[in-house]
Amino acid sequence: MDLIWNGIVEALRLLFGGDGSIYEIAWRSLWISGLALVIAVAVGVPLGAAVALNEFGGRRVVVAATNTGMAAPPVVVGLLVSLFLTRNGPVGDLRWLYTPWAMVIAQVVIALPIVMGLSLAALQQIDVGMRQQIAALGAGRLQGFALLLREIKVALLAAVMAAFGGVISEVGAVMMVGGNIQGQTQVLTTAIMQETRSGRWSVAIALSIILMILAFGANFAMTVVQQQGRRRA
Amino acid sequence: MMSARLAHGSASRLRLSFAAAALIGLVAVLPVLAGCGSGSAVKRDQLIVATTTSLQDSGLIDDVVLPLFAKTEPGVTVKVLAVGSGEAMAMGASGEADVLFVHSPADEAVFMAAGNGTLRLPVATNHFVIVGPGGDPAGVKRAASAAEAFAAIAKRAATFVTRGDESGTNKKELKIWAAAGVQPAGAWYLKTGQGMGETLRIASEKQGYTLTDLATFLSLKDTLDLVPLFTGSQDLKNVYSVIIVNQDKFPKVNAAAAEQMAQMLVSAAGQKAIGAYGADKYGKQLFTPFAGALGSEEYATP
Amino acid sequence: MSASASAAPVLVARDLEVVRAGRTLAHVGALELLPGDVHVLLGANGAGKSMLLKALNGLEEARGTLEFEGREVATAAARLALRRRTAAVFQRSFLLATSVRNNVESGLRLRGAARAEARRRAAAALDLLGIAHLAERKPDRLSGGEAQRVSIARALAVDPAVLFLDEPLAALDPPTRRALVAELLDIFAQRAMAVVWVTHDRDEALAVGDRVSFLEQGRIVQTGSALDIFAHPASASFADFLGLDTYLEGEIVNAADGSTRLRLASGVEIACREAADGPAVACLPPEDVVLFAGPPAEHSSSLRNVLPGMVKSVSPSGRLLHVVVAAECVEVAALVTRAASEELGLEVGGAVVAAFKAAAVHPIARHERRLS
Repeated sequence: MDLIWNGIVEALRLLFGGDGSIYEIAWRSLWISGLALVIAVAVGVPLGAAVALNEFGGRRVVVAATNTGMAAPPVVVGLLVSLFLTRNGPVGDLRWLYTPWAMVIAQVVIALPIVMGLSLAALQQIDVGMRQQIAALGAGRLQGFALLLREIKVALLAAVMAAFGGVISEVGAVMMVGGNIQGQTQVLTTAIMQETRSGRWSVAIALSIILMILAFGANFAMTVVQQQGRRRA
Repeated sequence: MMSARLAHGSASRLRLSFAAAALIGLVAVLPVLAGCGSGSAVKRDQLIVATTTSLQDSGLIDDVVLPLFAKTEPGVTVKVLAVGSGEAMAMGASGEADVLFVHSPADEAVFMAAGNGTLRLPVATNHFVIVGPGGDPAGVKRAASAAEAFAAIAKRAATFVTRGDESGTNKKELKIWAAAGVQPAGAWYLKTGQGMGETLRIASEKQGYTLTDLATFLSLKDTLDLVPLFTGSQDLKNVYSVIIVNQDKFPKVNAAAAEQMAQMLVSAAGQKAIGAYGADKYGKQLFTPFAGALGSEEYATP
Repeated sequence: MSASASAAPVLVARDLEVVRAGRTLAHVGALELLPGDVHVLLGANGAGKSMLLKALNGLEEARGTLEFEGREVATAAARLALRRRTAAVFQRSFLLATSVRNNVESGLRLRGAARAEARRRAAAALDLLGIAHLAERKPDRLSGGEAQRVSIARALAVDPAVLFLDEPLAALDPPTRRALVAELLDIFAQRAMAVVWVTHDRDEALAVGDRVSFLEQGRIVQTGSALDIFAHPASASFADFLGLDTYLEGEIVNAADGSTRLRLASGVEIACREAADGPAVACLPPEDVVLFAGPPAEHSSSLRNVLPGMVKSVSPSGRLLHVVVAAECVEVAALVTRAASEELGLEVGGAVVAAFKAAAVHPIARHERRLS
């Protein structure tokens, strides 16, 4: 118990002492996960909509694959991305392994099925009559799509929050494809692991506090948007 | 009026749910709190060994130490925790491990001086190796000592990958930088904060230099695009020691089993097995058994 | 009243068929919709009326020929163009998750109207349906009737060439239904709008339809004016659906003594349930008609209507007999048991007196549609 308390005290001292390196790590966590999330949403939502709103051969297989992807172990994703990006691998010439780009790619692979699968489910729940009403109002394809997205705003934001939580807190894949190189690919989660292994509890706790604040802050903001306009019972 | 009463009703129901949740949370936490600080008897059938990742990665623990110990003390389950040297020493300093198997002489001296260990015995030695890209842009091969090699690397700002995790390997590396009169920093000096295996992989991917133990390098050689460039000098020598954690200071320590482990490692049979390791797998001896008696001058040299 | 025949039809369907997985879900041989017409598609649940409406609206792909404002609708693009010139209201309001005002503007905005214009026209539609005070409300705070008014306002705001209504009042309570029917008929008359109205309610069809098509298993089996086809159902199942009532057409007159009467064209007045003055059609269920062999007994009774006449036809209806009595310029149907028939000595051509209470006569208001 002593250990934990001392750690917290030391952590607060570090946090407010303006240690630049801690903030640098936090910023890297934020932009890598943020970028991965943006890409996952930009690709995942239209894809999810395309599958949810259309009939085509093999549709059930696609949906099952997406749902399975949601549960894909991040370490497996890390392994696959490593194999792809390694110098002797198929796209080795890019030299992206052990750079932030590899980490963004790995996090996109983790987040994409979550966003796609959850928006797919939300869209499928919309009454077909509603879709016909929207068509009857004169909406073209894209217009109808935009309207439907607004109808599932709550579920969509829940998907984004789930995906964000999944990637900002992930350590296996980013460790494997990023290498935790100080000043280049170190993020909050890998730093916490390193500091813990080195026995530097206070730094580890400080980083953990920042990670929790980031995760909570982002989700709080998204929750506010999600719950806008909710009827107070 | 009605709605006010209803609102009150649902508010108190909410309060009730919060209370229930808090109660459940408290009950869940109680066992943890109870566990802290209470003294319980020594677990005689379990031995916790804190060692370094490089020792674990070398295979010496799994292939030599554990089988041999199982033969001498079959009733004891050994739990091996392979962490950074720093963390291993910290675990010993808090009584969470029974015996340490590390290679960080300076820290070991501090550890013993603080009274955290009852006995420290050197077990084996070997040399670190500087590995790097086949092209050897910094001319490490031509150096006369490790410090000179490092200076050449720094001068050329060639990529150097370090573990940066305060492990035994890392501390050795920092001493060499100090000897070379260089404060390594910059875009060419990459700190991974991880184990030897991962660091080697990154060095291979980035085609950079790194300091490694031979055993780990040999076990990963086929997957790496690196070659050994320099070894054998005095400043690359590595001493492995076993430390028994002080049971007087930390009552839960299984000192009896720890002593058995230490005895086994310095016994004739143990030393022979350590010396033979690696011959059939890699055709090279990975660890030179200390085979020295207590009182050797090696003790004094950190 | 329907539009003059010289106006061009706004919607024409020829052999229009909706086929899915080899099955024909809806089919219409020929249908023409003129501006100002209210065409009712009548049928039981599952008869295929909604599917047919969606085919006419371009919501469902169909084989055959569909022409809108003279041009053929055969491609997805053409169907979208058709939808952008028409509007639809369904049984459920399907309002978007936004304010009532935004909902009513949505159709216009989707079709490219500028913000200010959309706002203006939506406000006018809200006024028309009497819901301007609900403009800022969210859909979950609306009652069923209010929500449906929003849906209708939304449809009217775009000034559609054809208004498609799919059982628009089925989910509403009777008073709301009655009010909306009256309002809607007024609006239709003012705008000379072509309307396709799907319903399973026979009385609703009577109240609103200029022309009524009866559907069975996806096919239109009879088309004509409501009174025509109701009086002469072409199939047994249609007759079953209609329920064998007698339909009496005339003018409601509320007398000074408080009684309500339906004055038939022939001048005969039938005492009926209360209704507003004006043209109406009244239904008289056959089971409410009592037959007497001669003039009813001297004691006064609650049978306000007593019509002497002659038996025109007798046909079996289950275990009962369906008897049509030709009285003074009006035909009335009655259901009697075989035993009663024997007792009364009913036979075709024989004299009989048909009597029924005022409460048995249900008027359905018919609105005159004024067209330019």
